[in-house]
Amino acid sequence: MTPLVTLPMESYQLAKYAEPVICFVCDFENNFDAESCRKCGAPMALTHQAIGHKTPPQMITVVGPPGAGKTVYLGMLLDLLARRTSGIRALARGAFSVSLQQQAVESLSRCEFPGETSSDPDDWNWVHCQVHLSRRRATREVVLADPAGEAMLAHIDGMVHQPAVQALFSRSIAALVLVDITQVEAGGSDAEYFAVKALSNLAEHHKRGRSTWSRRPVAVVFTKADDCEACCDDPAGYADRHCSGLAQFCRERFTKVEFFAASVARSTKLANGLDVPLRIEPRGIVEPFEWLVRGMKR
Amino acid sequence: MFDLAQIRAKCLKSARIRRALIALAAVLIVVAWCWDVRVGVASSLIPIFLLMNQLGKAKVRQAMLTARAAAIASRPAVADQHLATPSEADAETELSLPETMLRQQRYALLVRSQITETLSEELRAQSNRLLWDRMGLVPEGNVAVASIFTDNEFPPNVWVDPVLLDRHCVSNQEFFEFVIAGGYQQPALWDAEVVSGLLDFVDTTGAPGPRFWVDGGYPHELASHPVVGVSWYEAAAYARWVGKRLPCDAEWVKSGSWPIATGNGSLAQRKYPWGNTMDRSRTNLWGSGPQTTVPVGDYASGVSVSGLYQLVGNVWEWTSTSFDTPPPPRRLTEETAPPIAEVPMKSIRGGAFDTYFDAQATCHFQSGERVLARKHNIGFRCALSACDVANLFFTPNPTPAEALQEALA
Repeated sequence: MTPLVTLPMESYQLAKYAEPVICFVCDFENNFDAESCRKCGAPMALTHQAIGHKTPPQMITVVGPPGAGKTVYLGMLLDLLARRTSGIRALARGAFSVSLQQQAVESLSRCEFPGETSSDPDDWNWVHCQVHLSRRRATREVVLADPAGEAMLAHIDGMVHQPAVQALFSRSIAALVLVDITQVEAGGSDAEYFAVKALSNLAEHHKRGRSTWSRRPVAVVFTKADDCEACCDDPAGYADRHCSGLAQFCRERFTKVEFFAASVARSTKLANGLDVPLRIEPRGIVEPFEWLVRGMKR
Repeated sequence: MFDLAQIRAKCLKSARIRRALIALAAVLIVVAWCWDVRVGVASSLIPIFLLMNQLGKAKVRQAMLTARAAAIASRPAVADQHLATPSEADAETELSLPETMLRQQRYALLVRSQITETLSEELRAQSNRLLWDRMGLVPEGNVAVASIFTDNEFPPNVWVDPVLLDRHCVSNQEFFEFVIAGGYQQPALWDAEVVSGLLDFVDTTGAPGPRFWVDGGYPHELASHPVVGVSWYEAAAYARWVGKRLPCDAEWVKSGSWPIATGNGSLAQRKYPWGNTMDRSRTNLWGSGPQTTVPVGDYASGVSVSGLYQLVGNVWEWTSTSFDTPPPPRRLTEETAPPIAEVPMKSIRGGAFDTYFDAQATCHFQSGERVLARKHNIGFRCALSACDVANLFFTPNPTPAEALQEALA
């Protein structure tokens, strides 16, 4: 027979449970010991860190269809910013913030691209970093997310409601839109249509607030531009010539919009359809991010 | 002949006079203002002097442009300062064909057995001296050549015959000799399949030449930098013109990794030309250099055993090996299928100033590029098989004692 055991009531523990922790990304109430938000899947460590700062971090949303290169771009961006000694720099906050950088860099150094990001928000990579601008003491707390392109596509098309994507769009104060230039060069319009749809979706948020998306910075980045010198030389002109719909939409809807070209690797396609990075030569990676950060209101 | 330095000095002098006039005008304005002269007089002077300033600047700019164009037009056709001074270049018409070839760095043609016997002793000595000054010997032997599509833990051994490789990558100045000698207009120098596409190999102004040149010439400050913006065909044509060829993958790897056969039959190879540890002070890579090309003679501390500069870093180097050659069947798996490029690709080696990872800037790392690509970070160096040199260790009239001493050495 099991003897009865009397446990003392730990009231302070109950008090912890009584006070919910509000997710930084989606404002959903979670228990204090939750590892990730029950609604959007963002790591609660992000929220705990955000609470610890006087000024809450500012969020930048990264938009792009599957295969546009979001993971590679963000991973390389963070690695570049972390290795810099002058100009704009970034220091990761929290171990979870280094995962994306580690994943991308390890893959690329082995001449492989990182695997496709899962549609499950729990598997997305989140980054919280302290960005040092070149001016003394000018720092910003910035949160970046690497959402799955599939999930984003489904949400934008209205097929599946993704609370995480919804929350990202609502919370962000700047956007980085990635357009795969190889699709544009091949004559396809899918990349352009996706960008227009995403930006249109973004522009619908915060209409009643004082700060609307029309006044927030939007950087349109043509990715995989290693083989397109025309785009590298004049991205805005390239957008006018090859993605005129996107260029016109951006200029009509957003007052702070800029076009960039970026490439991380020179790659080739194998007979089995697999893309292989032949060598890593980052180009134009930091510029869009720097432009966004400098254009964001405090 | 235009003297660029003299023109610059004149421009600077006129600029100084203009600045002095502007300063005087500024003083006059201040004095006028202090003496309560009508403000209108003073303010009317301002746009006049501003206009003077602008006109002066425009004149200086125009003079500089004229001088630059004249300098390009009258640039002495020299590949090396100590080989031919401008006065010698003026007397080019008096040079014999072998002398002209030496001046153009085409000494490799003169050391061949068919030619060398027809030359004077002095010319033979000169061409042989140039050969050793400009090229390093890579001895025969096996080398393990890793490929991006093979298992790099056990790369296959390849036999390499003795070969000479250029100590430096081909510079803009050297390539300029090829351009002004009409290299782009000589179909015999080019691969047959690309002759119809020669008109595409133009610079920013449409003149024949590397992609980033202007008016058929290179920017003055980049004379000793490696030539970039050249396709594989342009590199191969230049190599033919100077009597050499592009090195194959195995030759290039052997020159840098300098393999030594160990007792158990395996090869001990260096990862970098200077050893097995990355030392960023010895090479121009991402984060260790100026983020652009540097002169081909820089980073002397990073030379290979045979004295080759910048095998790693600065620019990738074209080789003659096809990049899409399928690896041996036993290594061919579904995941390592060869690439399918619309245009054939050639292997490139060595890494460049913008190569990010140390692991991709080693003697063993292989990358590839389309043969028609004219990239900002791909250059080349040439090779010459030792068997093509008539007398590799030629010395003019050696005494018996010298010959014996050399043989012993």
